[in-house]
Amino acid sequence: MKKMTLSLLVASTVLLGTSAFAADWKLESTKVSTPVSMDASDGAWAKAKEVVVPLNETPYKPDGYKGITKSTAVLKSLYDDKNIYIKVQYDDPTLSTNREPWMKQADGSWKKMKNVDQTNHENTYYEDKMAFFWNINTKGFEKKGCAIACHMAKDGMNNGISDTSPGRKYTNNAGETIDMWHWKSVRTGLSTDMTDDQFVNNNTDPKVGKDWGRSGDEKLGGGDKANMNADKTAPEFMSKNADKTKTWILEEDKVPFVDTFKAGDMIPGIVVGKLSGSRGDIATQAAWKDGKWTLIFKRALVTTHPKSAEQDVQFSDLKKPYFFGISAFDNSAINHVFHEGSIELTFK
Amino acid sequence: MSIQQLNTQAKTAISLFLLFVLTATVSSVILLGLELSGKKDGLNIPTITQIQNKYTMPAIVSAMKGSMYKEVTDDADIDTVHNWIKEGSKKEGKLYDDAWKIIQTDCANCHSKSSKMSKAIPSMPFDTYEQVMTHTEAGYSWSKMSKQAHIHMFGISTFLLLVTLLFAYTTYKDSIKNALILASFGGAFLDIFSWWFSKFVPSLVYLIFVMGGLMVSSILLMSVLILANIWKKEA
Ligand code: HEC
Repeated sequence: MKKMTLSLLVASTVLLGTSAFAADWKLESTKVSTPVSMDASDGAWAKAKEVVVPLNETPYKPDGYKGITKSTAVLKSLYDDKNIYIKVQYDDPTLSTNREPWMKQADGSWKKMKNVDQTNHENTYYEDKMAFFWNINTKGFEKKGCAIACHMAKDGMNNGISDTSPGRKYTNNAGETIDMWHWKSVRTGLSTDMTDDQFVNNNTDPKVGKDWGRSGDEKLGGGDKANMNADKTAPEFMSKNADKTKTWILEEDKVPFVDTFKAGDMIPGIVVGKLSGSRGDIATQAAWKDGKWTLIFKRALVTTHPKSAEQDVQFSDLKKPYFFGISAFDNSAINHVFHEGSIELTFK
Repeated sequence: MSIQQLNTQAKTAISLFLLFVLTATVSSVILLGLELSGKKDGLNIPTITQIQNKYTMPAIVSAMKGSMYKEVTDDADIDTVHNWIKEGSKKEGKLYDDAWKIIQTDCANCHSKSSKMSKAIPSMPFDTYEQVMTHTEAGYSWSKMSKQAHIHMFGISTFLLLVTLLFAYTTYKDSIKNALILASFGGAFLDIFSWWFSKFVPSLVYLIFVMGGLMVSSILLMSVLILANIWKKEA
């Protein structure tokens, strides 16, 4: 029990204390007349107002986790006739892009580097990530933000199902969805200047979707695949452009793996193709410098895929507020720093 | 004799003590306001309704209306949980199913023995029916009340004695001294007394409100009056 106050103290008969809800933070998107470039130093950003959001909560404590447990995100937004642009800058002292690489061992064999935590999730050989949750029609999101879809397991059980993951994302009612922008520095970000456009619904059946409520929007092409030979003992491919992309292999650069390597050499664990279709709606330019990630996101205000209404937030009424939440993943598969409540986006 | 006859060092010590008392008093009002309103900052003077929630409702329900309000998905959920408790908090039926689902979705992420969330409170789990039941009694339980009462009464009476003694040796009229000294002790006593009894006599929450106010204002007033008096030149 929290310490009660010194006494019940009421100094005035003026009664405040209406508990009407207001979003915790507000982001104003500023109109520009010409399209904004994906260059973070574009002068247009000087017109945008910033909002600072502390990311100071985490969902669980992975064994051996060395990443951040706090960060600060600075957000800005611009829009033109067609697109919305969001600039996010957040603190992350280390650049992490070495995602489950292959490493040649002293005995000549190849080992896929892993160091998973007590829940079987990676926090060592992984990648930095950042994510948005945009409310589509989920009750309570405006007030609770991402927490509305957060369901932690208790004693290995989640929603009556035995589960090793510390928690799952799903909405509480049928028909409720959330648009999820999942920027992954290796699998979509630095490799193809993209964000993985995903969404969350109320699925809790691992047979329907292995990530429960989370799934990708429909895609026409692209995506990432593990770089692994048929008997899972060595890489299948290597890059013909290895110096340019050290920790991933672009689809167009991949060539059959020929082992001319020495012990300690590494080969990327992943082959990446540029996403297209609804899953590839969000272009993203990213750079890490001096302990900060700077990201520019660009998406059409309105998307027009067959399932856009349930999978993508639609900025179709610029007089309406839109609610979202953000989080950052420091070299971690699922541990993330987040904020309580929601951020309200309005168009000015 | 009067406090004006004290030497400068004693006057300095007393003045500093009173500044601490003033700050502590204001802080306690701020803390109470934050707890009752569920807000993150500012001075939120408690309302009668908030005080009523705290002292006449089950802890779970008053928390959903106050300090834990931001975790509640929908205002209607608070009534659902309250109705379940009012109807006897049975472990079956639709009321139970609905209330249990709300507590598990909105509260148990943090209120769980095994929770590793950064804002978790594993010491107050809602994992089982029995654990939840320990927070469904209306108002303060015997143990909570006796804990609150002895901590507050020992604490308040100690510094109140110092403040009132100092005030007794100011040069104000006796009638003012009597009034403020009685108001501060009387307010504190009746305030704490009503925390407990308002669960039986709901209208006593007004007494909590008025007596709490009386106590705070008399402490603040006495402290300021002593400060104004102590540094005056002796007549
Ligand atoms: C984000 C984590 C979190 C969630 C979610 C949460 N609580 Fe709490 N709760 C806490 C912490 C931490 C404390 C102790 C410190 C405090 O009072 O803020 C607490 C204290 C309490 C208390 C005792 C203090 C008081 O204010 O009476 C009650 C009762 C309570 N919570 C009920 C609830 C209920 C009911 C819900 C669901 C609607 C809930 N909590 C959701 C973290 C949480």
